[in-house]
Amino acid sequence: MLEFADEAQAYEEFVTRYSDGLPVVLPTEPRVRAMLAGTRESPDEEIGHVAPAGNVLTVRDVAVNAVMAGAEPRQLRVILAALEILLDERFNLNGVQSTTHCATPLVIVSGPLAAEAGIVAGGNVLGNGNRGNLAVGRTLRLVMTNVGGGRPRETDMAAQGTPAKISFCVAERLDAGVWPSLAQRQGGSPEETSVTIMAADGPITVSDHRSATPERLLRNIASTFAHMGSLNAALPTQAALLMAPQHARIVFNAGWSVPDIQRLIFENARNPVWRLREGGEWDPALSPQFVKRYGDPDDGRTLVPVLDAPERLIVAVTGGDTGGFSAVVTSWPASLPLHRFIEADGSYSFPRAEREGALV
Amino acid sequence: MTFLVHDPRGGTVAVAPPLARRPGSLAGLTLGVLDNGKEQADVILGRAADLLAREGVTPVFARKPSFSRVAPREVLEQLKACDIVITGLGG
Repeated sequence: MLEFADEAQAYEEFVTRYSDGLPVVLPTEPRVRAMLAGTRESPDEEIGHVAPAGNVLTVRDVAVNAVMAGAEPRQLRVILAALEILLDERFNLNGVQSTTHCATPLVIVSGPLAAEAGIVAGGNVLGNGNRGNLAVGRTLRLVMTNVGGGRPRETDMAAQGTPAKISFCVAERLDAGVWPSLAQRQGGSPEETSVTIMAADGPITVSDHRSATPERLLRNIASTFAHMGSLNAALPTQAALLMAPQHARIVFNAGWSVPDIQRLIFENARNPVWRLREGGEWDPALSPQFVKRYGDPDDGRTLVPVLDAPERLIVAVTGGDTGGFSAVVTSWPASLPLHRFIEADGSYSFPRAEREGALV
Repeated sequence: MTFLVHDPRGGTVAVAPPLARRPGSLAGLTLGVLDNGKEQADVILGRAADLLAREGVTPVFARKPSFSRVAPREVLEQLKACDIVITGLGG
């Protein structure tokens, strides 16, 4: 416990030293105890070490930072699942925390637990006014800075960062009348909820109110994925498409499946070698090694995809019913996106399910 | 009357290990050189190793396969055998 002369002094110290710059709720013992009601795990349960500082993270520590972020106990299960992913070696949190890139966790919650946890998927989903979404993303960030020591300008060496580093969390629309949910496509039942995380750039909005066919719409989206400023242009790996319901219906009503979307983006989100040579992150020593997988690196016409394979595109439907605006999210390629399931009956508040996602 | 709140940094705070004692002389020592994998890191560190070799060290070069990931165990094992190690960022 930290001791202060009074609440005002504690508040000043917390906002200055332990916050993202915004006001925080002070983690007093009654508040932390109330937060811990959101899990059946013991407060002393150790989840792991948080890079780069390497401090041990317990369930209680998570609850402390959740209180500070303004979270409610009902979000704690999702937060714990998300943190298990962040601490998975394959996620490379050490790199995400310390890179000069803007990388930050994009959290996608898919399944019925999202609504129970107050994590929403409706209008302005990536913006303000969504307490649960903001609190989940913000808790992860506060754990990363406070327990992981990823402090801006000290160990977090981001040149500019992104507003998504305050919080970046969405739920998936389960009522859009389109495909099976992301959780179901990951192998879960309709009753299960999955948490998927990708180390991400900030989102780019794709506006399209003219396309009436999947081909026209998805080529527009593909061109956004293929922008030359993304690391994905030079390092084909993974990306996420947060698809607006209006866009999803155009594709779904034409009889297309999610694998059809993934294939079209894989085939169209590409840059020719001549363009990659002229700009962006093309590395004359390394890039040809990657390009060999897709064609002759010495031939300027060889097309290089931003995705390593079609299934490396994470597709989730989210946002309000009206408006042809989807979000393209490119990634930090040195981190692997992962997902975890939270069991339907809530019996695993700490989801050590056998099925865990190597890939999304 | 004091105001108590939980420490958000976690209960078990990792403490940075103390810095190793500086060697009195470089003569006869093995120098590990860890290249982080970025462009030009080899140029900068190679030059530093050349200068230190004049002081009598024997350089051993190691390279991280990816500058975005921690050094693999075999690289760390290789460096453990060295008396001193230098590293630096390319760019």
